[in-house]
Amino acid sequence: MCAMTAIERPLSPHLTVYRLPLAAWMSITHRMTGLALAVGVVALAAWLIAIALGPGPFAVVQDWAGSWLGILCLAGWVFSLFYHLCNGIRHLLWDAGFGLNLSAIRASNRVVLVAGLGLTALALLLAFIVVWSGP
Amino acid sequence: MSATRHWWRQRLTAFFLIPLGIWLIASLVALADADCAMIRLWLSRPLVASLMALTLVLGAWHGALGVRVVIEDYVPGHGLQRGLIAFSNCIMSLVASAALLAILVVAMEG
Repeated sequence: MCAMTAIERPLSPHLTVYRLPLAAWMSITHRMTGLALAVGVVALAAWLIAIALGPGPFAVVQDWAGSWLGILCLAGWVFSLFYHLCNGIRHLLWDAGFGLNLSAIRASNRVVLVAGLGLTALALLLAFIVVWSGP
Repeated sequence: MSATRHWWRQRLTAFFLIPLGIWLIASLVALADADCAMIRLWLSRPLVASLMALTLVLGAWHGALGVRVVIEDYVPGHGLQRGLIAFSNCIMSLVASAALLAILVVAMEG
């Protein structure tokens, strides 16, 4: 038995040389966007607390949201929400037993990516129009 | 919490967060250039305050459930796992409670 543990067996899959399929990358992205959204909940709470505290604290949050870092984070959260939402619907359908064969998964890969990116682009475009058109 | 209950709660919160998530982004886009007074007026409407409270509670809950899975998958050691999960649950509960209080304050003051 001791000899068995001493033998260096090959590990599978070879994650360093194995080209992950798109569905695997999308699964990883689902988790990353989920973590980003957990941070987003904290940011949303901070925004609501600033609104409750009044114009002073609200201006601090608004200044950050208008900075380049703020815009980058907001855009990231919008993408995270739409991607996680679209891929989440796919997960719920999988849980219900729909779309579990390979060709359906390849098709739904595309649907989730296009819908997630499309909704993100639409939301960001509308937000910029609202800001630039001004009061 | 049993694994089955965790699984069901994750799916149930996810289901309700689909419309709430779309509503949240649509609202934030519409409010992109609003000042504090306008947002307070919007947030003090009973339907908006209720939807925002629901979004926050379900979002924080779903987030805590999801972060737990990530910790269980990637953090080695049972003790460290338990500690980090408790820490994340604490943060999410605190954040949700503070935000609920903020919504309540705005809803009362207008």
